[in-house]
Formats: sequence, structure tokens, C-alpha cells
Amino acid sequence: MPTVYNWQIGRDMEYHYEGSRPEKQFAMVFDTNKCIACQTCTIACKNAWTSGRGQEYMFWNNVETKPYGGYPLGWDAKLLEMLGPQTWSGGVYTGKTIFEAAPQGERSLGLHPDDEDYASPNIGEDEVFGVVERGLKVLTPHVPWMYYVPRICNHCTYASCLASCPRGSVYKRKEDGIVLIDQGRCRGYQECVRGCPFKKSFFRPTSGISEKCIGCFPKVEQGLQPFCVQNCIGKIRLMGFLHLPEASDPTNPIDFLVHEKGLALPLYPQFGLEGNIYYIPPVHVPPAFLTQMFGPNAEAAISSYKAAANDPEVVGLIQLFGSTDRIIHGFELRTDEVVGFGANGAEVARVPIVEPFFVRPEFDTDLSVPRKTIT
Amino acid sequence: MADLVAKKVDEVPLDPQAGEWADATPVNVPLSPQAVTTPSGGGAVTQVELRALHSGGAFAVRLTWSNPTSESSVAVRGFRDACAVMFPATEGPPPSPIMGAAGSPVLIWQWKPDWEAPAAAAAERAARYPEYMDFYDPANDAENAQFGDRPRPQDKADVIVAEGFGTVTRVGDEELDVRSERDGQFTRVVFRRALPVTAPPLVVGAQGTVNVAVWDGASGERGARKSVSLAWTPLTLEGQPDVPEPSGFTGAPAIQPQVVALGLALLAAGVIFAGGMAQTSDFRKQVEEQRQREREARGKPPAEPPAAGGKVP
Repeated sequence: MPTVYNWQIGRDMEYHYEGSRPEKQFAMVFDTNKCIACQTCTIACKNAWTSGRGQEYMFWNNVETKPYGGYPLGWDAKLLEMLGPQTWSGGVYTGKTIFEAAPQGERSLGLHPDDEDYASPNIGEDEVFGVVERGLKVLTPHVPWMYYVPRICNHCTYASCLASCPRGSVYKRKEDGIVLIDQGRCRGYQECVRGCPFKKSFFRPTSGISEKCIGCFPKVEQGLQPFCVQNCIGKIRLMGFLHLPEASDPTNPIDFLVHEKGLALPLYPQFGLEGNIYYIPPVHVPPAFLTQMFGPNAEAAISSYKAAANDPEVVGLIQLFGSTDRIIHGFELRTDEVVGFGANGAEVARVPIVEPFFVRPEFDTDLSVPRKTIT
Repeated sequence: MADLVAKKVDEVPLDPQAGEWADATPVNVPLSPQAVTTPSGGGAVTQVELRALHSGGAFAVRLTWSNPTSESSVAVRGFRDACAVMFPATEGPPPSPIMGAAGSPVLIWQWKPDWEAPAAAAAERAARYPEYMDFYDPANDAENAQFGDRPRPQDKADVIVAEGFGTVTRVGDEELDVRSERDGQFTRVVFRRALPVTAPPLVVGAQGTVNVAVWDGASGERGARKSVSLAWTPLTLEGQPDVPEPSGFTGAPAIQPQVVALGLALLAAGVIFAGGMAQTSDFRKQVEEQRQREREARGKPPAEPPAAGGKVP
């Protein structure tokens, strides 16, 4: 089996194919601290792509509550249990990836959900871990805690859906790294459904073939961010292109958050897929859980995020989240503004770093009325 | 391995229970789990019985296997039963008995219950996935939603060319007829097609070869997870060659000119196919063109003799 380098686990690993990186890599950063699980992204995606027969329970984008939520049911907990306890040593993963833990005759360790596992997409919503006792104070990390994880396909560098398909029906686009299922070539074996640890390949019983998140490639080709990003009312998402750590460009917003500041972390890096959706971890959650979910840099990321108020670049960049429909390739801090640039260097967004703040007197002398506090 | 002899009958039946089948000699083919490539699996079916018939103009083969749990439609983590017969699609020694190999293609006929009886499968699916709302949605008009894994409604079975693992490419063949039947715990499937069925053609009196695979849906078998025979079964069409050997065509078996044409076309296509997957559409086009010519020839007086051949009786 060929050996490839996965920077997220800091070492070479086994993969079914030779390593071949795309010219550009589609990537997103989600700030979990700002997600309120309103599911606007979910509905934006659903209306755009999966509103047909046979897609009723198919959500290319979903938002789940951790620790109890999961769509499909228990997708991560079950796979972690199958994989068993694993170890990191420093920044290097010394355990087994799902490729290295593949049983005899398989290409990866995989979980194949049942129909029923897709039937409760929002199970566990808002359920906290821990007991809410009398006299409880708000401490950080929170004693009873939960947080929201928005999820789409990770458009992985070493995609397991792609490796699992015996027919080569799944491919990764050279131009932007988006992973797609060739609908003309798929024969509905559901090997990708089983192989993807994130469960973002779905079988559609009415057509007999599988479908997955397409990264809104028709929009990306026009320099636009996907529907789930454009419609995020919490402005928690930013889509862009990611370089390798050694080629990191500090003016590229995704590189800046992932490589320069270490604020955004991959989801379950131990699975070994080098996924390209990055999460700013929630600051109020016990670090042990976050380390399991986002890798050994979770605590450091939280410290950086807490200190970000003093880092105008981070504060400025976060203002650019949700500021434009266009893909931001570069950003620059001006005195009191942050500017985002498109692929050709043209300005696509300009926002104040600090929103203007107005204080009005309590009594309106023009109308001779006291003002009420309203939101 | 016992030879499979296709018994000569006046008319080849499609009905798996037709009386003619009782007179055809059965051959039991042992099956093994597919363990050569990943993902591996299968093994739920350990044996399949083959019987074959021909009339000189048509050929049929019947597969019978023990199948206590019949699965006829697909679902999430739900798979259907299936079976397939495979013929070499190249001259010379038979290709690998497991899906052929690069440069030596195989032709496969695959039965899927939901292809044979789409209405029944649709009803089964509707019961499992009820329509919760009746509304028009453009997503239903997308090509993949309309056809999915069955792009040609006229095809009753899947007709495929392969050159090794993962290269299965649908070529389609509406002339292939298929019918299945449950008989207690057994499933019987008959494939029937007008001769010639493949290239090199199955010729009356000469020896060909066939291989089989069976998928048990209830055991999660699909794709490479299947029960397969690891060796070809010799196949002979009973009787003497219908056509006397043409003079001036020494060393070659006596075959009809349209058979030569199909053989040459498929052989040539096979060479092109070896060039890579990019050639697949060319191959498919050529096969379709050849089939069109075949259909036209049937309705017309005998074709002109091929330039390289001798006189045609």
C-alpha cells in the first residue's frame, strides 16, 4: 500500500492510492463559539441540492449538539469505539488511522449506518453533559456543557470514500480539491457510505446510487462561497483555499487561522483523512473532550482564541466571516477596517474592525419621552 | 469441471419452469467468497446449478441457487440478490475467470430483480420510504434522480464489459431477455438471447466457456463482495455446425459472416478498450453500431460476403 504524508498527524501513513495534491484545496473554517444551531445552513443546502424523492433524510450539511447529538446516530462514537484507544506523542499521532486499522480484505475501518440511524437528524439537541445542580455557578470550562458542531463533507486530502470505492467512481478535482461522486459511474455498492468516517456519502434508494456534498462547485467555479456559508446568519463560516503548512500565506485567511495562529483545527485528525473543514473549538468545553475531537492542539487553540481580543489581525479577520458572498483569497488590516480581496486582488469586502457604538441619552428631548431599552 | 452442454431444442424457453429445462444436463458449479481484491466478501452462496439450451438461433442459460431470503430492492444498507454469467470477449485463451484483465475483456450479463420487475421494486421502495408530501420539486427531474443506476429503461438486465476489477462498463443490450422465479427456497434465473451472444461467438458444435457469480442481498453482498467461481466452465452448444466449412478459409471454424463481423468488431473494440477508460464511450458506440447492423441484417437478404472470407453458402 502506498505511503503518503499527512501533516495533521505529523507523519507518513498508508493510503490506498499514491498521494496527489490538488492545485488548490477547498477549505472552510467554522467558529463553533458563534454557532447557535439555527440550521439555516442545513436548510440552505437542502433547498439547493437535496429536496427530491429519496433525499428526505439526506443532509449534506447538518448541525449537531455534542456530546449527545450525531447524524447519523452515533457516527463518531461508534467509530471511535471500533478504533479503540489511540495515542498522540507530541504533535505526532502514534495510533492507527482508519486505513491502518482496516480489517483483512477491507480498505478502511468503516461503519455502515442503518436506515434508522438517519431518521433522527437532530437527536440530542441542546442536551448537556453533566448534572445541573442547585447553586451551580458559571465556571469555565462549564460544568454541564454542550456545544454545536456544524458539519459538511470534509473534502479530504486522503478521502476514505474515494479510497473505498472499488470502481473509482469518487474523484477529487484537480482544480479545487472538491470530492465528487460520478453519478454516471456509481453502481450503488454503498462502499463510500461505509468508508467515510464522517458519514457524508449518502445512499439514495430511489435512484440506487450514492450522493454527497458537492462543495457547491458551480458557485466556487464563479468565485462564490457555498450556500451554507452565504446563508449563515451567525457569520461563523468562511470558505477559502488552504495551502500546506510549509507554503502558508499569512495574508490568506484560511492559512492565517489554521497555520499561522493555530486557531482552527481539523475534525478527528486521528482518522487520517486530512480533512479540510477546520473548527475553532468552543472555549467553554472541557479540554479532554475537545482533544479527542480536534486533536492535541485543542487547548492551545482555546488559549489563542481567548487572547484574540488583543490581536487586531484575528479580530479583524473574524469580522470578514459572512461579510461577502465572494471567496476571500487575501485580507489586509487597515487602520480601523479590514479588507478582503478576491482571486485577482480586487477588493470584495470591507468592514470595520469594531462596529460603531452609539450611546443615546435616556430622555428624548425632541419627543419629550423616556427611551425604553429594546433589542 | 463437468462441461455445460446446451441441449438443442426447437424453441428456447424464457420460463424458468418450462419442461425443456428438465432435459438439459445440470452442472453444479462451486462458488467461493471473492478474496482476490478489496473489498472482499461473499460466500453466502456455495453452489449454483447451471443448465443451458439452444435452438440454433437462440441461446439460454438457467441459474438455480438456494436463496432462503429473497431481497429484490435496495435500501440504505439494504442490498438485492443478483447473479451474473460471464463470457470471454477476446480471442485466444480465456481471460482471467474473475472479471478478465487489461487487454482481455469479458462480457457479463447481470440479473437484478428490480431491473426485471421495476414496478414491484418501486412498490416495495414506496412502502419502505413513504412519500410524506406530494409536491413538485425540480430536484426530481435531475438525470441521476430519474435513472440512477438504470439509465436505459429498455434493458431488462445489465450488460457489461470488464477488463479487470473496478472496470465494469455498461454497454447495454435490449435483446437480452431475462426472467426469474422463486421456487421454494430456490431462485431460478433464465438469460436468453439470439445467437451470437458474444465475441468470440458461441458456435454450435464448438467449445466456449462461461463463468458465474451470485450475490445474496440479505448477507450484504454487492459489487466485489460476492460468491464467485474461480474457474471457467466449458460450454458446448449441442449439435453439428449448421454451416459447412467454406473453401478457401482454411483452419477457421465454419461461421456465419455476420458472426465474423461481430467478432472482429468486438476484438477491435477490445484492443481500443485496452487503451484506457477514456475509450469506453467509443467501445460502447461500436457495440451499439454493430448491434444495429445485426438487426438490419436480420430483416434483409444475406449480407455481402466479407472481403477476406471465402464464398458464402
